[in-house]
Parts: sequence; C-alpha cells; structure tokens
Amino acid sequence: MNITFELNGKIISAEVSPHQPLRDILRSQFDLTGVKVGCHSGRCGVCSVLLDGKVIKSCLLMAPKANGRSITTIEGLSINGELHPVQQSFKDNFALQCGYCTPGFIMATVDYLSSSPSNPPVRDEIKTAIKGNVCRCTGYEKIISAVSNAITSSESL
Amino acid sequence: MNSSSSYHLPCDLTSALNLLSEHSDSAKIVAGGQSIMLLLRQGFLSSDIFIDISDISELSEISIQGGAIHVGAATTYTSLENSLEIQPYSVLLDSLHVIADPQIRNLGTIGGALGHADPSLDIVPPLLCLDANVVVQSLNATRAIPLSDFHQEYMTADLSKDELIHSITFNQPTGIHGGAYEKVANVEGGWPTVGVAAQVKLGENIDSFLDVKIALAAVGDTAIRSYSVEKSLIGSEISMDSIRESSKLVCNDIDPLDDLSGSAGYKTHLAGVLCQRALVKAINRAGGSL
Ligand SMILES: Cc1cc2nc3c(=O)[nH]c(=O)nc-3n(C[C@H](O)[C@H](O)[C@H](O)COP(=O)(O)OP(=O)(O)OC[C@H]3O[C@@H](n4cnc5c(N)ncnc54)[C@H](O)[C@@H]3O)c2cc1C
Repeated sequence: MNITFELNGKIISAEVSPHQPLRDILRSQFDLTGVKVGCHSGRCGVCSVLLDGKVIKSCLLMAPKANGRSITTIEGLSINGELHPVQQSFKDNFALQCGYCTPGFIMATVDYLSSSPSNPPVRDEIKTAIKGNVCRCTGYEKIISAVSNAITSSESL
Repeated sequence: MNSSSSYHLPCDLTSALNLLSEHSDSAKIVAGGQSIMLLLRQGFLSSDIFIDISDISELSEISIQGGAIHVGAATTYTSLENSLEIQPYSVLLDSLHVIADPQIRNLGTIGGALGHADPSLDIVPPLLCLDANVVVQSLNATRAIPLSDFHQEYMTADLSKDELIHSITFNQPTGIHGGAYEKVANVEGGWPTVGVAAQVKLGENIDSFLDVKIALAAVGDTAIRSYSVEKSLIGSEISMDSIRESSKLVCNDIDPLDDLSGSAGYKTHLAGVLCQRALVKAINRAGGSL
C-alpha cells in the first residue's frame, strides 16, 4: 500500500507492506542509516525514532501506521548544521563510545525532555526514561550525565 | 511486498465492525502492534487483512460514569499513566510504571494487552483486583464479561472472530482502601518473573481487613487471584505476622513453570515475598501502619 507521512519535516510517500517495520523503510528507501538495527525484538532501542513527537521503536512499528503521522529520526534533529541541544550535550559529556546506541538514546532523551522532567534532574527518573535503550559498551554514567545536563541547560533555552 | 495483504485504518467504530464482520476469518485487529509485529516477524501470524483501530477516537477515551471508570481499548499505556482519572488507582498506576519502557508504553494499549492474553502481562493482576469487566462489541451485539472469565486458557481471550474489545470498566474502590503492584524481573524493563497485585479495604479503625484482593502474573496459564491468601486475611486484624503467614498460602493457587527466568520453586517463594510487600504497601497507602 502507499502511505504518505511527514519525515524529518518533509511530506513524502512510500510503498509499504504491513509485514515491514518502519525501520526497514527508513533505512532502505530513505537512506536514514542513523536508525540502527539491533535486536529485532524491541529490546535494545537502537532503532528509536519519534512518532508525532513520542519516542517509539521503529522495528516494532508496522510501516502503514506511519500514514498521516510525523516521523523524526536522528537526521532530522539538527537545524542548519547546528546540533540539537541533546546531541550537543551527549558530545560535551563524552556520552558515546562506539556510538551505535547513541541515536536511540538521543531520541529517547528528546522525548523525555518534552515531558517536563524534574529539574533539578533526578537520577532515578532519568534511568527510567532511558531504560528502553541498551549501551553495550556500558557507558551509562556519561549518558546519565548528558541527559542530566541537557535538562539543566534546557532551562536557559 | 505481499500483494494480497491489505491494511485498513478506519476512523469510526461502525466501519471497523463492518470490516471485521466482512473479513472475520482472515482479519487481524491491530492496536499498538507491539505484540503483532513480533508475531509477524517470528512467522506466527498468517493474517493478510489488518484492521488498525488506533484512529478511532471513541476507543481511546477515558471517562467516569456513575462511579465506574471506562477506559477505551485503544488507550495507550502512556495516556493511561498520565490520565487524571487513573491517579487514584495506585494498584494500576504501579503496574503501568513498570511495563517495559517508554517506547513500548507509547504504543502498547490496554485492549492489545487483554487481546494478547499473555499470563505475564503486568496490567492484568491489578485489573483483576479491581474486578474489571471487559466490554466486547460486534456489529450486532455488545456484551460485558468479567475479566476473570475473559482469560480462561493460556494466551486465549474469549472473543469471537467478529468481535473487538471496546473498553474496560471497573468501579472506584469505596471506604478506606489502598492498592499496590510489586514485580521482579530479570532485566530492567523486562517481563515479570512474578508480579503480585494487592488491593485492601480496611475497617474503620484501620486495624483490620474488611476486604482483600490478591492477583498474580506469570505463575500459570493465566493471571490468577489467590483466594487462599484473601480468605485467610479477610476479617482478621492487621499484623505483620498474619501477613507473613497468609502470604505463604499463595502456593495453593499458583502453578509456575521452570523456565529461563527461574525454577518453579524460586517463583513460588518469590510470589510469597512479593505478596507480603504488596500487602504492606497497600495497607500503608490506605493509611494503616505496620
Ligand atoms: C520488547 C517488549 C517488552 C515488553 N515488556 C512487557 C512487560 O514488561 N510487561 C508487560 O505487561 N508487557 C510487556 N510487553 C507486552 C506489551 O504489554 C504488549 O505488547 C502490548 O500491550 C500489546 O498492546 P498493543 O496495542 O501493541 O497490541 P497489538 O500488538 O496491536 O495486539 C495484540 C493482540 O491483541 C489483539 N487486539 C488488540 N486490540 C484489540 C481489541 N481492541 N479488540 C480485540 N483484539 C485486540 C490483536 O489482534 C492481537 O492479537 C512487552 C512487549 C515488547 C514488544
């Protein structure tokens, strides 16, 4: 079937089957390879994207569900080459090692920041917000710092 | 692409019910698709006609009518967690907070959970404690079934092929009451090894049990009430000793399996421990102290 949706700010159409997860469409038809492939079962979070602003795992989104909705991937976050504040915070806090899980963590953090997180940040709340994402390098401490600093500096935005 | 497959996104309930009655042999209802996508990938689903109910606004409404709360089947876990109507139901809120992770909760729905009928679902024991009813609808009829009758066999919901789950309803607890859900999982955000829900109603002096409801996940073919624990507590005075002794009786009502998440013996022990914890929390929330 043919679906139309907003992808990183542009209205686009795609030919999809219900058996396809949105992740495969994003990577193969639109070359958005920041949407990573990991566990294929919704556990690792590397394929996280925003659906109407809410974080979801694109390996578990039946592609037709994107029809009429808005999808944002990591490629759609920066504006005019300037990093999104969450991306900047991950960079500033050295919150990446191999980098494979980073797009997923950033998308989960962007959603978390839009849902009025506690400020000053609460460590347990942050851990809950990112628990759908796995960092196989185990670099969680820096990731938690990056999320925490993104919250603190979002005040001044 | 599979050319014979079709995907429908009806905007109103009547269209969905019409589609369902027309294609009842081959159609699959899709809500959040979180379980369905996995089943498709694993080759466990052969349906080619999908009826997606997530654009039907009537099915994601939450309302209170005459002391009963009605939750539309397509309400996501996240909307339920954030809804004002649900805040007084601590037993339900506890479970919503520990289901999977934000990503799954943003898409997974209460009706999808009940349709999936997995015995390990976290939301089912709290709903059993609240005596929830499932409202099921087809083109020609609507019926309400107690949730305890809706899941009678492993992974099976009491639904005909032309029916869908419309909503879930339950009454607001009365009197001095409190509830809690406790779960242990092998990994953060994982399915429960065992989950236990407790809902208590206390006597005027907050020192005795007028009513107790206990229900468990992941300990048998379906989620299940523990009448043994309930019976031994109802009418008795609140004490840590009675809670400890009664919680041991949970083994009479459960039948856990040995599997990768733990041995049957371990899960039986865990069920008793979580039963105690859930009761203590429920009592404290009701204003009692231990
Ligand atoms: C990675 C992962 C981790 C998870 N962890 C947990 C966990 O920790 N705890 C937990 O409780 N659950 C967990 N789940 C399961 C989750 O709760 C369910 O997948 C979810 O609730 C299903 O809802 P859905 O709307 O996505 O259902 P769908 O996948 O859309 O549907 C599920 C089934 O219900 C049927 N159905 C859906 N809506 C209706 C309706 N209105 N009427 C009739 N039939 C209907 C469908 O036809 C299908 O058979 C996890 C799932 C995943 C993928």
